[in-house]
Amino acid sequence: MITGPIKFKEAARRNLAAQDLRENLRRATSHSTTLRLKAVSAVPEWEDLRSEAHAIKKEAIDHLAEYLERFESQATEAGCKVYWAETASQAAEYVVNVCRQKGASLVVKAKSMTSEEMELNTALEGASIQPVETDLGEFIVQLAGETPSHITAPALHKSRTQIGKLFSEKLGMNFSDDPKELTRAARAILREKFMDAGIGITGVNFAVAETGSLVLITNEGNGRMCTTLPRTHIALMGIEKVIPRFDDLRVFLKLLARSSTGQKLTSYVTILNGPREARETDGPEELHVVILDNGRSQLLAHPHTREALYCIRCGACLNVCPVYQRVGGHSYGWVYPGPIGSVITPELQGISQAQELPFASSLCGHCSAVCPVKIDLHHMLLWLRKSAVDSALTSRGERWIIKLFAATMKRPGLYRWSGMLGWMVQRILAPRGKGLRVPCWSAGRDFPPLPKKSFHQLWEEGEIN
Amino acid sequence: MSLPAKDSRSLLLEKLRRFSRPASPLSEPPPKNDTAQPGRAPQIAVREAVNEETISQLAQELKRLGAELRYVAGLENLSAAILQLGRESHYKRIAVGADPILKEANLATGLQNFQDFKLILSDRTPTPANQIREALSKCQLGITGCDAVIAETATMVLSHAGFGGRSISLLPECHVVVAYRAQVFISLDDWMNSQSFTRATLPSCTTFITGPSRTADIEKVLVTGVHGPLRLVLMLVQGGD
Amino acid sequence: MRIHLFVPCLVDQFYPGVAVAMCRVLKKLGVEYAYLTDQTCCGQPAFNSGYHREATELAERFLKVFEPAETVVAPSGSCVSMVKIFYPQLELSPAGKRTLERLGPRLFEFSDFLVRELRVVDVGAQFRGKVTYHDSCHLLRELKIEEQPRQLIRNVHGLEFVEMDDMQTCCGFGGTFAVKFPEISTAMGTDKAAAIERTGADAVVANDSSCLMQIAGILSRRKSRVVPMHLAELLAQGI
Ligand code: SF4
Repeated sequence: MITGPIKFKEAARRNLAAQDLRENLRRATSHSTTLRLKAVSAVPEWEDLRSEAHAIKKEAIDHLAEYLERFESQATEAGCKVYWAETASQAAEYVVNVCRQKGASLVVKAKSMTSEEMELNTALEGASIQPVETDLGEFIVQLAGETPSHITAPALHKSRTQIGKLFSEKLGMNFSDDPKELTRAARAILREKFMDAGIGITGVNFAVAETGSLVLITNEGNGRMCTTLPRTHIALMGIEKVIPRFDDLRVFLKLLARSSTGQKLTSYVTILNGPREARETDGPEELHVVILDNGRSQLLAHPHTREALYCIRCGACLNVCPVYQRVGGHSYGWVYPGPIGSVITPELQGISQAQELPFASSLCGHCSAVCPVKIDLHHMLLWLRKSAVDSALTSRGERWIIKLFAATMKRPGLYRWSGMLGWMVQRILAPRGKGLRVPCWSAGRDFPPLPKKSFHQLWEEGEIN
Repeated sequence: MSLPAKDSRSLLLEKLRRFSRPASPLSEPPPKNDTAQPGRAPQIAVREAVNEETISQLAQELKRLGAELRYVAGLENLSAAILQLGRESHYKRIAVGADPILKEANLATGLQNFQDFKLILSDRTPTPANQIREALSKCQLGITGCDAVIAETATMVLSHAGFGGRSISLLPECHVVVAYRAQVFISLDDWMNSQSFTRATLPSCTTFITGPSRTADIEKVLVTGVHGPLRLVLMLVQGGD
Repeated sequence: MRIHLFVPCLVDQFYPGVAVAMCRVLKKLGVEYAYLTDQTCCGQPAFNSGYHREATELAERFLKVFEPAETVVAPSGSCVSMVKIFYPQLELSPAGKRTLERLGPRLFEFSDFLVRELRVVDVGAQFRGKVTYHDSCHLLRELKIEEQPRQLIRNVHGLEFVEMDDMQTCCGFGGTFAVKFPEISTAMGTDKAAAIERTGADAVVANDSSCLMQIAGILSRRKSRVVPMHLAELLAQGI
């Protein structure tokens, strides 16, 4: 839940000025985009795969109720307990209740953005249940008392020195800024937590309607730990995670890792069908699946932004976004940053809560060009801008300027006259041969000088032959 | 525990139905016969004729991922190969899964002289789960078979039901996968085409393993060995067809 | 061949030299051109800001003004994509729709017109020096024009072409974005300018005056020696 409108502009200005953050962001995003480009260029049928994935997602979202029900019945048949939550707090309550019922005091969590939406850690702590984030990035972020700044690389805003300091401060180890050493330290601490935890909580990358399978895509092995050691596994998924057929995985597996980390496949793809069976020696005895709406169904009703539900959370659009690269994930004010965040935050939280976000883009379209499921992100921002205007959320001053602008452009005489007026103002105020100082422009850039004659004048005077 | 489970379910579905398209023939997943293969025995895929090119692609890809490949001339040489690996790396504790290929290799006898400790799992011994897991966590070497090996991505497909479970490939420091050469497939598509996936035939857990566990969460520096194994070795056994 | 010029308001008011240069190149190639003097703005600023009502009025006006035209050429990828890609999203009158359906496919961005319509890659221009090229986002991603400008630049006599790092990364202009988020916009522009300077080029060429306004503004603030140039201005060199 966000309280009050997101102040993107303010946060962005602050983050833009933080030099070390800029450097951390630059390093991480340029690394990821380079790896992605390399991986993608090696697949000649990439564009076809994108179209195929788009079509599959379209099919799933167009028939969402049906596929979710089918998933539910298959998963239930396999022994899962399925719970449908309309709101984030309902979902959190359900999870807390399961933990209580199992008498669990320690919960291990694999990375799940859905759980961030639910503010699950706060809910668990409130019930005296200790949640431990086990994805290295999430572990770092949790230690620091922060939230993830990226959907696949939660601690990308931190440098190794910052992490080293954090570890020595919070974990009492000797300072080291060696990523390997830091990783090993986290491994040792978390290994014990995995052994002791009564509950494992994970997200879900794909839920297969046809077979009731849950598919988890991970690299570190913490997802496997969470679904192997604790006696109860709770999987959290947004309603959009369902795909029709098992066979559809072929397409998504080819797209997801390449888009996200430039790998052909992540280290682990885990496909779960129900809890452990009687003859198995490990795996959870109970598997709960929480299907969360939390405003997503509203997206269904909006024809121009509905396709945002196709998102497979690869993070590619964040990595290539020139705005994200400079202001970082925390500027976006809620769980989902970057271009996809600028689209879904206003939709899930209400446009009045996030009206600055759709405008925080140069509309360069790089996001749409890399999106593995071909979501037309930057064009959606345009529709959201319209919806901000239609809901009268833009400032009175701006509305007035646009009206004046349109009125001028509708009258060629007035248009020309204001051009000449501009030139005269410039002659009086600006040094010779220089442009005017213009507010909101000239702090870091020079404004171009207006020429004495416009093209129109030159044409009229016969100077163009 | 009183939860309004049914309420939120029907409310949510109602909302979704309002904006979902009605059912169309296209949206029905192709009918699959759920009872075609009773039980959930993992399917061991065996394919014929794998050419050298495929194997060398597999080797290359494994190398790129920081995984290792060792060739074993025949099943009778497997225990020797494992003993050698153990000696080289000073591994003292070893766990062996109950996969058919491992049983067939008679590792119980072959590894008799293994250094300190060995744990041979069987799908029949009903050892309590927490004991196995404690023991496994202390092992440096965990040995399993697999359903298939995918050359293009150097992926090993493991379905864990029964044969020592999910932990044996996860908790020990080093995971050794034993596969017949004939189990190598060119691509994931290739393997998937040879299978039929239905709820009834899918085991409770299937894992595609592609390299040792890894992270790049700190300054994008690649570190292998996070929570899962630090090391992954594929032992490719001649034959199997 | 006979065409009508579409001179976007930014070019008309700030960079008339770009349109003059375009005329020079067209003339050299034997293309006759006419100019509809009532034209003003295509409505993009209003559209991009979310004001569809105002944008629709200006779109209707544009289509009415250009009614008599058969083929239209503009020195801007951004304004061309406004008409071709975004006009169809507006609720236009039947008359407006008809004109758009006819005119849309016959509206060309300058470099695209030369290479694909006239099939010319060497206009006979001459330029001594090293030149780098910035891909304008609308040109690249809305209109998918990537190779045409490069072909034209490479064929300028005496010119050495060099690609910059991240040539397809936005310069940070983004219309009203540049004034709504001046700090972010300037930060993007500064990185762009640095990439341009790293090539050691004498001139940076782009196909959109809006990008050039941003790039030039930053280069000039940095007191850079690199000259910003519209493709039309480059192609008019020495002819
Ligand atoms: S919108 Fe597309 S690119 Fe962005 S995270 Fe989702 S799937 Fe990836």
